[in-house]
Amino acid sequence: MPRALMIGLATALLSCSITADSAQAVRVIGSTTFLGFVRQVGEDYMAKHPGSAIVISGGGSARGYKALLDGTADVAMASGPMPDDLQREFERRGVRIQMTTIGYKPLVAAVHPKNPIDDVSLAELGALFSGRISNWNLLGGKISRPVQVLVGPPHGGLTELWKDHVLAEGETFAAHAEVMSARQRSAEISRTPGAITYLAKNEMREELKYLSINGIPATPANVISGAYALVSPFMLITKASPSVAAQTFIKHFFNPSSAWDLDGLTIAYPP
Amino acid sequence: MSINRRTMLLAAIGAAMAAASGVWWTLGPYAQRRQVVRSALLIAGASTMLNLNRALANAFSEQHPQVDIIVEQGGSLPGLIALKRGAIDIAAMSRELSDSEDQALTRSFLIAKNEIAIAVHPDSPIHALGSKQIRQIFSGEIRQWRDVGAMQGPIHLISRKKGSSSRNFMQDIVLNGDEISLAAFEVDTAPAVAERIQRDPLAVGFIALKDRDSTPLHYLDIDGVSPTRETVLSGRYPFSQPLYLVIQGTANPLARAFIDYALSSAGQKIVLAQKLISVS
Repeated sequence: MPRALMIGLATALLSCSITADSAQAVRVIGSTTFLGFVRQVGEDYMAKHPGSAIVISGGGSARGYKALLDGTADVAMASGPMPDDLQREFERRGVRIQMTTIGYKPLVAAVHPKNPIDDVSLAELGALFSGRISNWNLLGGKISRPVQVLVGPPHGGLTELWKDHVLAEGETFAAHAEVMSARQRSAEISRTPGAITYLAKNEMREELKYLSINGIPATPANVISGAYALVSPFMLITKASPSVAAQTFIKHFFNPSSAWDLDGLTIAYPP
Repeated sequence: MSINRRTMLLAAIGAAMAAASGVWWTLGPYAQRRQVVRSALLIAGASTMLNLNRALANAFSEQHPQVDIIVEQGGSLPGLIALKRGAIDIAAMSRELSDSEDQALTRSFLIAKNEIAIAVHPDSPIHALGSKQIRQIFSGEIRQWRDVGAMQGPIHLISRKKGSSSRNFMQDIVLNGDEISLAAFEVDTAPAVAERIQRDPLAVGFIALKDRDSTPLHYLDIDGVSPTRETVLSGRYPFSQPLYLVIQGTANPLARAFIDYALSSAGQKIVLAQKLISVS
């Protein structure tokens, strides 16, 4: 069939093909967790760099990595470590990458303000969420009060993260755990003395009590230093030698404007 | 309908390929003397992208006179299916690929964005509406301004005539496939829409960013986002649409050369000339 022939012959055209002229454009694809935040930073960047184009779309972290491999994105947004199969694919194709951690979204354990407990170990936290500790008096609380576990919808990014970090290998959330949205969980915590849940920083409410873990509270300094480990990291990934425009855009994240809604993100130290 | 269109598309492509190979064999004996090698590039998909792809194809052929480019419509999904079956070289898609469509060898290049802004009289007290309210207004479900705000009086809908790309965009993207209300007053051009709204404080119409002229109108924030080039590129403005050229695998350098052309400054000038938003 002439098609195969055609493809072969068309190779000759490569020599005179025009290369993409996108010196000013940065194509950003990936994680939806921080999409709203990145869109805001992109608009701010375009306003400050006339003529530039920051073109953003979501699709998830895996889509971002694939687009980077495909050459259809300049910057991938990712909210967790790169999956093993993608890591192998990058290695197989000899594509070297550069990862910049923009910041972290901390997740905190929230309880009723009258709960006498202030601090738990990571192991205790796991036992509370798996149901192995079913009464607060097992943690030294004087009153017998059953532990009520509230969790987010399964497959939510933050729920997965909490499960990975907090529960022991192979464990699941307590069988009696109730599934609710973040908003419902924080409302329920404020009126249920025995309840416990997790919330992202932007979902926290003043009146609730937040537990420190192994003596470490989720302060910005602890989050940035890594001392507080229950965080969802936000990374921007480029190929090893990104365009000037991509580099300038990534630097822009480290000069946060007071007008930005950080959406629960604690900005990391600049690289 | 989509099956019909696809069948037609594939039939057209089959005929085109037969024709192309016919030309090739006819030219065969002369090829050596004339040193001309013909090749073909088949592009099909979203009807929204037909004019853009034709304009790109015309300019590309000027630089590559030995390439015959055939541009067809038929829809985003049929285009993608035809691409994956090897029936065409490039699929034109006016939406993002789903996870299952975005296979390992599928590469989608964003080449432009499309958008529409909603315009009212500069003195109108209404500066922002939700996308649902806009749907209700243009479908004729809401007919009084007091149902979306403080102003008294009927809503005067201004529309473009059937066949206008702005009107198609309104119906496809803003109204989710519904028709614009029959109560709308129809005009021929974007300046006519602007002129009509400027004369009538009760009017509302739609104008693409690129069609904006100096007529002092107010362009509404939709779901809290103002319609600007920046909010369209960032993806925050809701009445916008991505336009992709999609290829399968890396075996076809001609297809890749066409996409590189679309993304080049010359290609992006064509994007602008088509009243679309350039992405580079």
